[in-house]
Amino acid sequence: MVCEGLESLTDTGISGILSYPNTCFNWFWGLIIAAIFFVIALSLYFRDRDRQVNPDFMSILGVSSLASIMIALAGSLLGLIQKEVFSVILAVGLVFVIIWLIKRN
Amino acid sequence: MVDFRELLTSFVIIGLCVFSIMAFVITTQSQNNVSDPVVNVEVIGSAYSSLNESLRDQQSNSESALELFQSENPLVVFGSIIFYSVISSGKLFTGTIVGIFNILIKLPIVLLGVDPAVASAIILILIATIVIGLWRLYKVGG
Repeated sequence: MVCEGLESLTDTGISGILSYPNTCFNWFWGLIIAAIFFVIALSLYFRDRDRQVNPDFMSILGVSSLASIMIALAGSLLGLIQKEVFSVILAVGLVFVIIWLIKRN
Repeated sequence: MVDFRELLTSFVIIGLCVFSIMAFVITTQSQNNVSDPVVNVEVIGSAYSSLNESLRDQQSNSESALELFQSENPLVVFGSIIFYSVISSGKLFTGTIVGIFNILIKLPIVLLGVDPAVASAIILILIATIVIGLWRLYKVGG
């Protein structure tokens, strides 16, 4: 697979440059958001463990999912994330939120 | 086994939360003129509108249940009071729970490729929980 070079970049503004990886691989920013999700989840987990509180894993995943959905929404407003990628992020995030709410109730 | 009232409350709250998140996302995208909003994805658009209708219908469902309850003359038998309208209300609210579940389960099945067998297994557990919860409600009154 040959990706287009930088010379094909028409929009040289910030959103144009940031959305350049999407020309080759649609899921670039989706994977970045997945990584952010894991970073937030693990940070919350280790923070709870350091406080010697039993970490509630579903709550951690639920909160991380909400944060990821909001970050993905911001990305979609900037044109970095396409609807197909955002819909998968939304579906995964909502599944975690639903399981979290079921467990809480 | 979980209490029927708690199960119903949980599902309504879950439906409300999911609807709120989707409404926030869709509204924010439309207000910022996103060129290809997520509501154009068929399953998300239909889930959003189905949840909207389902939650709006709950008011008429609950008013119907209340009217049934108020119009009934309770039967006093062996020191306890029997309300047949509780059975009808149970059926109405079961429809609410299953309806919300059917809307929400479509998202992982279509978008994430979850096997429908998984959804079948979950709905089996859900229906068993509802039936046993309702039976306990009818038998011991909650």
